[in-house]
Amino acid sequence: MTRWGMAIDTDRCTGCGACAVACHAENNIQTVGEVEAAKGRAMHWMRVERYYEGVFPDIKVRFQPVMCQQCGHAPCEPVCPVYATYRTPEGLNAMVYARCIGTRYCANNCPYTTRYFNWFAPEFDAPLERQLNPSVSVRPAGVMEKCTFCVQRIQESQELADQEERTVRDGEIQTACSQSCPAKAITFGDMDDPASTVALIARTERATHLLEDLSTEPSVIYLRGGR
Amino acid sequence: MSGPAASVHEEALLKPLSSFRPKLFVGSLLTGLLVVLLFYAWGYQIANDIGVAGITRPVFWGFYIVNFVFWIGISHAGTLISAILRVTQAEWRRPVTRCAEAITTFALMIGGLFPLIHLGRPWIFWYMVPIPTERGIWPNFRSPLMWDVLAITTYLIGSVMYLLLPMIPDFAIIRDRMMRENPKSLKSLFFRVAALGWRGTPQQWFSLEAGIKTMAVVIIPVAVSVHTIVSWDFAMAIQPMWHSTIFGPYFVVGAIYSGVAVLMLAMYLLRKGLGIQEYLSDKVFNNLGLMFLAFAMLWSYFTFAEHLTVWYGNEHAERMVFDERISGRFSGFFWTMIVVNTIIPFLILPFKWGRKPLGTAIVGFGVLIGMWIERYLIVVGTLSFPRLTYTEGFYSPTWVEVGILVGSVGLFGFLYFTFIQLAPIVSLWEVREGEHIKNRKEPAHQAALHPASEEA
Amino acid sequence: MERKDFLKATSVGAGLTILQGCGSPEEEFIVQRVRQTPELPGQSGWRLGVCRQCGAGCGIVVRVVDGDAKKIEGNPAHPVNRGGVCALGHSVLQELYNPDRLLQAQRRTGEQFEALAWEDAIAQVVSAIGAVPANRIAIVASDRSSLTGGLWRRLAAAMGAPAPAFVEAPELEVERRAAQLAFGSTELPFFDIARADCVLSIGAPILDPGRSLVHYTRAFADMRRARPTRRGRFIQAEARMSLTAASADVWLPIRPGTEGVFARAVAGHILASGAVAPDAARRYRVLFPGSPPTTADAASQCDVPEERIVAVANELAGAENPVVVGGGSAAAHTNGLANVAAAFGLNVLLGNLGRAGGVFAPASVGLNRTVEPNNPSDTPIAELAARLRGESGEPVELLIVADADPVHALPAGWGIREAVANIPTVIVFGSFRDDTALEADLILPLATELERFEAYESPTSVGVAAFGVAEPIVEPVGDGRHPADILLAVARALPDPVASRFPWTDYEALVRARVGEDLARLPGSDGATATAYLSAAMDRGGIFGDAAPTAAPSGPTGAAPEPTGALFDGDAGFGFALLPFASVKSGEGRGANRPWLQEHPDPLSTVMWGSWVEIAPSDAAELGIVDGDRVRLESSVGAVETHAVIDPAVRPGVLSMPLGGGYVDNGRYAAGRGANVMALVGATRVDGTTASAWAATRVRLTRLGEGSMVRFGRRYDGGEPELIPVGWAPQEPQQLVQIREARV
Ligand SMILES: Nc1nc2c(c(=O)[nH]1)N[C@H]1C(S)=C(S)[C@@H](COP(=O)(O)OP(=O)(O)OC[C@H]3O[C@@H](n4cnc5c(=O)[nH]c(N)nc54)[C@H](O)[C@@H]3O)O[C@H]1N2
Ligand SMILES: Nc1nc2c(c(=O)[nH]1)N[C@H]1C(S)=C(S)[C@@H](COP(=O)(O)OP(=O)(O)OC[C@H]3O[C@@H](n4cnc5c(=O)[nH]c(N)nc54)[C@H](O)[C@@H]3O)O[C@H]1N2
Ligand code: SF4
Ligand code: SF4
Ligand code: SF4
Ligand code: SF4
Ligand code: SF4
Repeated sequence: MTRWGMAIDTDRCTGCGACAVACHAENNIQTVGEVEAAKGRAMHWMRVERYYEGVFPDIKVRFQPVMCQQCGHAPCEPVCPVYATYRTPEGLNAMVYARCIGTRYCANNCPYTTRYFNWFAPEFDAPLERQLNPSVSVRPAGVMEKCTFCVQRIQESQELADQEERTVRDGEIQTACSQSCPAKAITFGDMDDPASTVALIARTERATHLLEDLSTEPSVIYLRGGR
Repeated sequence: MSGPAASVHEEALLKPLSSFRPKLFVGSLLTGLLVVLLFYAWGYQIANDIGVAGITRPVFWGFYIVNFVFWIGISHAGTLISAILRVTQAEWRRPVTRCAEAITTFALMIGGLFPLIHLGRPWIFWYMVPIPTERGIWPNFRSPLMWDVLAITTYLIGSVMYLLLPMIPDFAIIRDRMMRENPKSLKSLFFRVAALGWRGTPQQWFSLEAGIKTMAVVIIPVAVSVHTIVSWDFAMAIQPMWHSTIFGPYFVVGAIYSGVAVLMLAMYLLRKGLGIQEYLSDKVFNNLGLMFLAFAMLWSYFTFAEHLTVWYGNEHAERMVFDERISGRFSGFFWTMIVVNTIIPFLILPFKWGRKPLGTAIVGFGVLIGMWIERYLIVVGTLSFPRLTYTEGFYSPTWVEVGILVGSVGLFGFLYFTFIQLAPIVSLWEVREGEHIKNRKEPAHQAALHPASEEA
Repeated sequence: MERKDFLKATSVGAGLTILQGCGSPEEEFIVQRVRQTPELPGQSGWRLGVCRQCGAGCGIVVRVVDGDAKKIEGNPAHPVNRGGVCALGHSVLQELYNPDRLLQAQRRTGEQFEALAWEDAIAQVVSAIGAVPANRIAIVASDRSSLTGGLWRRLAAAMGAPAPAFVEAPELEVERRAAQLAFGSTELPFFDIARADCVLSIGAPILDPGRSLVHYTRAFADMRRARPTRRGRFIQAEARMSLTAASADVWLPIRPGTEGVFARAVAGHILASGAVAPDAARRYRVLFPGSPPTTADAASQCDVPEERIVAVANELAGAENPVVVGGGSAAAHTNGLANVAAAFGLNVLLGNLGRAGGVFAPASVGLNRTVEPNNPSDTPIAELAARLRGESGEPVELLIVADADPVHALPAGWGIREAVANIPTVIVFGSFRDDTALEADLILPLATELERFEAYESPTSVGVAAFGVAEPIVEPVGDGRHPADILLAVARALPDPVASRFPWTDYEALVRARVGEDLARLPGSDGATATAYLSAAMDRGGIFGDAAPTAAPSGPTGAAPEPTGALFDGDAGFGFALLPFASVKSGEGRGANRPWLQEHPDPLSTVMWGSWVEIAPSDAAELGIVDGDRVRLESSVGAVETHAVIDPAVRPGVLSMPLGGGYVDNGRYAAGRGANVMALVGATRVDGTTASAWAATRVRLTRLGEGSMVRFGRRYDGGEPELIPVGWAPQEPQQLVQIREARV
């Protein structure tokens, strides 16, 4: 069985934000503009959180890339009244945009605040729409969205593997964020394949989960920094 | 004509039905304007997408959900109170029950409106309705929102029946008057239909009594379940200061508390407006005032218990929300709530002079505001401070949300004014029954029967 | 055991995909995938390209569907970025499809611009050149070290016009001069950060945009986590909490302008401790004959605790593979040359020249040099400014600006904006109405790197010689062309002797010719024909030198100035030191007209859609400024208005503000948004160079009133610093180290 997972080495991450822009480009995420962004409606499925520790001059910055943690016990799932968000057999927390009726309950119950809502229909000033990724649907107004682990890339690789009558190989699937990351801080793969890089990393001492105490069983592993 | 005609007091109740009352007209007109505002704002939101509301990330729920909880809470005024009083056979209930039950029905209708407004795309609300489709798509009954749908629908149907059943004999009384005055008029036609051919035969009386009794018993657990489930919308989530085991009873108590508050206010206005102090007597206010006080104590106790445990537990995420509530960004709301919901009631309600119409009305007004703030604190206060502090956010409502809130109050008033013109706001036959039980002239029923029997 | 599994798994997997890390498997992949150009509608293909959004010239792979470019990825085979792409690199798609991009040549008619055909446009340039004496022509271009740069030199020389001036972003002249002194190399050497175990950076913003963000970020990450034995350490001595400082293990918020003193004191302590080879010490004394300041003295000058200075010195001396880099704001003070020389000099002292994790000689394919010597007698920008102002040399009657925005990017103190307004004829090669284009009489649109044949050599400072070459990836959206193509068209239309010096019909022809001539010298060219060699190169993404650098730089060539007290522009009454910086939001301004980057939160301030100034809580409190307030910054040369960001990691007395704001137009997303920090920067120059001392301006700060700012993250509200929701542990488990090792 496959269980997709991700490991993020916070000690490699320099907060450059390439992952966030890569995610926008790959997943047709709308930019909402200055006015809406000021209301807190900017959509960054991948956001690089910045935290301070200590006091000047001995102050340190911690960067923490946060996207949907694809929880094993996702609090967002049971509360959705229409099954618009649900767990796939491969461990993804999926969104069915056409099903979402916009109650926004899932977003309230996401302890990581990784869900973003289309308050208005997306607008792409022509000809910017020529860049849109045909493998990803553009979400209408009133619909919830969030990181999908680049499911379209997973499907593409799986189709390729099927054609070649083999299974998907470790490292074959790259999410947009992990592929761009200049620091190679992000690793994606199958947690159930004991030999996969991500599974190896997940077994090391630096591996930890975000808000572990909530037992949401995230599929995203964070490697603690060493500073 | 034999038998007693409608008493002078009853005339006060029956006038609004037959003759034109300027006061009522103006009232309907003003509230009517607010209703227009409500639907204009809602229409504007539908036309321009939900984004025209102020809700944002991380405060995904705002005024609409607050109002939803608020109105559903108010709906606990009538049915529950009147049902409890009926079951406990409290004699003084007789003049109160109907205006209370009316509140329930209308508040519930308005409360039920808000989830639709909140969705932004109301036309797909039906995805939540369990209709077998070829797509095999079925609602998710694990979601508290689905529980809401079921509970509130049940409650609405139940309380409408509970309101209508006792109205049948009164409709008959009015029908008979109308037939005498001008049989051709539209109104008399309406009441002929509404009376459902009530003749007051013992058989009819028996079924009616049985029906009312059963409904009274059934409606109580339903009402309790409704606000318990509404509370679970929050308690089932793992957000700080939502995930609380006492939310069920806490919300039910709060609901009844706000319900009594509206009732107090409504009774005061009715008494002043219609001059029906014979029915809504000081005694009634005094007794309800005592009930009011009891719920003030219960609510204050729950509030204290809830906040003490959070503070004592001192869990990081919960403390973030707690501190903002007690001493931070939301402290203004919080302390206002404490003043109007606990301090003022305790200064007025314990005393006989305080449990007069005006006193209870003032307290009622304050408690209404306080209970709205309570829901605002719970919804917005928690959502503003997510665990990952980086994503903290602010919420401020837009004119659309404010307009819809104000409009919903208007809608309530409008429905109520209309109701007053369609049915006596005090149950005639129940009061008569009461009087006869008091001075045991003859079996209660025949007394109430008199008008009906004139035709026979 | 697990490691073996892992290696197996990846080496197989790598064959078919872009896997993180680098090596031949990916190159195979590139060849396979890129050949399958999409034929069927809806089918997607991958085309190789070169990113030109900054000077680094990373290799990219572009997903193309139905003829449209959809996504930029890094080319794993390219030695500079090895599969990575930065935020700015991604956003080239929004330059390509930008709604406000100029798709046709434009001619000014009064206040308006009207479109005209290429032929007419070229003819106009030719006649404009013919109409003025050659010595009254001024040329401003970018990419000084590229083939295009060479062409400009050749054109200027052929016309008898003054040598072109080059706008560099960031300007690296000071670093180059320091490298000349400390290492004896005219170009920047390679600092082998990835293999170092202790890095001291004196102001060098290596993880900030501008230089080679992707390259340095990867090197940094590998330095941190790729070595089997221990985790590398990074120390940043810089007045500002830059993106680089944010990732450092130790940040020393040093007093601006004293960076060199700090470096000298560190050297002094190392020398005194006798922990260095006598030869190294001798060579160091060639660079700095004088006696270094004491750590105590330095501590008071630099406002860094003495024990910190000593600790840094000991850590460097004790490290196996220490390396010291320098630059950024340290180089942009009046004593910048001395500061950077002092930083570079530490490498000499530590004896790491030519050692793994040390300093290596510049690596280059050398194709650029063959067009025209990369001659040092380019007109310094500062001198050009003087010419434009009519203060030196012949007055300028014709100004040609190619792919640069000097009016926006250069210090206001140089008066370029006013000067350009008075130049009779201004011709701009550019695709947007940026501040320079607004002054233009003729605008010639450029093609993006995705629409044109591209060839660009990455800087010498990335260790591996990398000359990216790529065919056009998508059909041109408009009428744009490569600046070199425009140049060639013009040059060949000019009367002899100019035309005859430009035998190449276009840029591609030039590149092919060069490759043909130098074939023998080029890496891995044995036996191949030029055509075959080049097409093989294009299937890889370029011509790449040997992976591991070997040559050591020669070492100090002479004495460097001592980093004595820095001078500032506008000392009197201007209390704050101003540090302009490039945010990943917009780089030096390129990103300003792209929604992705405008809405991208700055990593530290988390501001979106606009400019801001970073203020220390104590200074803000003093001036009664709260976060988000509108504030006014005044210098001796200008004033700007922006919003205040109260940041607990700002050194009191220092204000920093991002570049790339305050465009007059430049497209709907940039127009009138934010403020241009360069409008504050004075005319001060770095002693002994022609470079601008852009960090040597002092400003006054006043509160204007309440304001609101577009923020993504929670703002700092004076409370105790936020706790991070996951734990942190210093020790490094063996097993993971091995994984990392295997991946590099
Ligand atoms: N431009 C363009 N047009 C096309 C196509 C295209 O590729 N491009 N494809 C064509 C093809 S192949 C098809 S199949 C059609 C599909 O076109 P549609 O049948 O319209 O399919 P959708 O738009 O995906 O879904 C229609 C609506 O169903 C709602 N919906 C989601 N779940 C449910 C549910 O449980 N019950 C009900 N009643 N409604 C639900 C969604 O909100 C959506 O608004 O489009 C055709 N039209
Ligand atoms: N996200 C999302 N996924 C969906 C759906 C959805 O609504 N949303 N709808 C589902 C449904 S109902 C359907 S039918 C499928 C449709 O999914 P697809 O079969 O993928 O249909 P399209 O993507 O519309 O068309 C596929 C490609 O065919 C190309 N094409 C157009 N004309 C021709 C031609 O003449 N020859 C060839 N060889 N190619 C051509 C188009 O350029 C397009 O890129 O998608 C399903 N998947
Ligand atoms: S791209 Fe990589 S290094 Fe940059 S912010 Fe994202 S995770 Fe961190
Ligand atoms: S992170 Fe949030 S959205 Fe993602 S699965 Fe977990 S709860 Fe759901
Ligand atoms: S917003 Fe959409 S996905 Fe989220 S709970 Fe509501 S219906 Fe489900
Ligand atoms: S996995 Fe894909 S969707 Fe998720 S953050 Fe990364 S790029 Fe975005
Ligand atoms: S570093 Fe420069 S060249 Fe490399 S991807 Fe980023 S912008 Fe492009």
